[in-house]
Amino acid sequence: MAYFVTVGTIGAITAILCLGVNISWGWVGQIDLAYYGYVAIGAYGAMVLELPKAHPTAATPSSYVLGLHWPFIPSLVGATAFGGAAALIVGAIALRRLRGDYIAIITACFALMLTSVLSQDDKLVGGYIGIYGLKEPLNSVLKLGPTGYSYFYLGLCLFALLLVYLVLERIYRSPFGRSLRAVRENELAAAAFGRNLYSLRLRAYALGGAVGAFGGALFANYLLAWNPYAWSILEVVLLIAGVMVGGRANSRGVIMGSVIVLSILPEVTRLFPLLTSNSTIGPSAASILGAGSIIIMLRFRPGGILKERRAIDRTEKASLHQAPMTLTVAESSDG
Amino acid sequence: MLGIGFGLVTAAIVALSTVALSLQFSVTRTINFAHGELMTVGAYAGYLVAQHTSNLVPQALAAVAAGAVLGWVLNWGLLRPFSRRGASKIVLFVLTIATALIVQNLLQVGFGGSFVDYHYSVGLAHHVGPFLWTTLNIVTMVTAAVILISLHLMIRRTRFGKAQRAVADDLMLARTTGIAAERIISFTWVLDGGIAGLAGMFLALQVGSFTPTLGFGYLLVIFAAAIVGGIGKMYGAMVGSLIIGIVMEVSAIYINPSYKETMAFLVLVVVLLFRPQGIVPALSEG
Repeated sequence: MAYFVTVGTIGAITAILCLGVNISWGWVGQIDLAYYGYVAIGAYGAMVLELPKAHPTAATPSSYVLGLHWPFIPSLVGATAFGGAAALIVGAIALRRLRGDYIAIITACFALMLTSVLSQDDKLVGGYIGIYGLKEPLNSVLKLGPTGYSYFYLGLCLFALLLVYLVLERIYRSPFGRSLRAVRENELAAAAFGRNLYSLRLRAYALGGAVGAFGGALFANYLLAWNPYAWSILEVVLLIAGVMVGGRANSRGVIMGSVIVLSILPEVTRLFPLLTSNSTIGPSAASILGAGSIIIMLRFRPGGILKERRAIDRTEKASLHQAPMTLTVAESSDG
Repeated sequence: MLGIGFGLVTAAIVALSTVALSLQFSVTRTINFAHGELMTVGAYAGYLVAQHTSNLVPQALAAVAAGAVLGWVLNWGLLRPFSRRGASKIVLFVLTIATALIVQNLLQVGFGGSFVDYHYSVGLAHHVGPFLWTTLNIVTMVTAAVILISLHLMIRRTRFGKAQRAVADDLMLARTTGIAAERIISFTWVLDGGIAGLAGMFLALQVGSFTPTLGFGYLLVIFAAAIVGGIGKMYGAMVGSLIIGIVMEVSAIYINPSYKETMAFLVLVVVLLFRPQGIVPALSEG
């Protein structure tokens, strides 16, 4: 049972991360390779907000900034804000006048620069040692045993997932969400209807960064420790695979895809070493199959298992073909 | 001066790989995120042959062959079928990212994730003018120079090079005039893979030990060089590599060696922001 609780907790957090990736890849249609950077910022951010001031000793050499000793919930909010702010800065530079593939390259550059600074500078967030020593959040109040607490944290993560899902669904249906899809479908038409492409994309990018950081903060509070080995920029490929398998720009699909690619697949491939003599094959096989699923989905079902619902033009019911996105834009008030 | 000397060696390796990337991009217009993996398979091929012979020539041939095969497979097995079905550029780009992850993990399964040692008996260091180079350094630079000059001659003087330039300029027009564009593209990928594989081998020899992420670690440095030079422009790529190579090695001396890639990325970000067409337009007729 403890096994399923662990898989479930990490699965819920990963699904939140996938929902964040879905904003840039699903809603806007661009690849953000800095995404795991925001996850890391959220994780580190939550930890430096929650932990008391660093007192590095020989036994606990980790040294970090801040150390505000905030309670759990405000730290979570603070970490989310850190991620959003970081994404706003990177986005302001990367989205200014670049094409899709250049955006991917420049965001990858930012992620690598961040990795390098965070791991080399041991005063900032503990360098390669990372940060550890977090207490189980809220348990000072709840006073649960290890089993009870693991159920509680699973519930908390599932609740967080539901919350993120509802908020993102709401934004997706809002005029802002509609405008974003219009930009994705036809940039020129959206611009012609007076949409500010840069501002739309930047806001979406910051939103994605905030969701990533929120997931990262939950993750750090589950692991109670975080260091540079916990993340790498290519991991975002597997999150994209989750989005592709489940269904681009369809939140329910994305959650399903996340469960398939990032929860079930790694657990199945974990059994692979039993079949061969190679003991390290498990994670590699999961990555190969995960990345392979992107290719397979793009080839056979580019929309994913649960496709995005097409926009319906309510003004002209008997339209000749599928309602063009641009028409929906013309009605929206957001810009 | 030592910094610039090392910078020239780094630049030679980066230049080989960057020119290959740039040539491939100018002909196919696809940004290949798995370019680093072309280098990595070259490194592993060289390493495997080195277990049997210490002669550098068969090692280099194996590296070229491995990279060429992967380049060909990537195009024939993945990118061509998708672009025939009208896949967008960003979809092709995502495919190459997925390929990068797949190849890295296949190598991980095959060779394990730990460092493998790959050396060439270095011998004594030579003083050349103000620089201090090992035999390997000199071999690297001479090979790079020979390949770059041959590429220049191939593109400028041969029918194939002319056809390549035609495809790069306008694919439809090239097809209409009876150029076998598919074959040109296919061969460009083979050439790209071969050169990148060789660059990967030299890179691995230079650093002495490597893992399946060798090439990926250098991917963005290569993009930096390509974009600084103006992506798709071959001569720009050479100048860009020189700039990036020297920036990296000189900053390693004056700032902090662990930040040398960061410096390269910083140059890239600045260039992308202010001169996305590259900083060497005068030399860019490629």
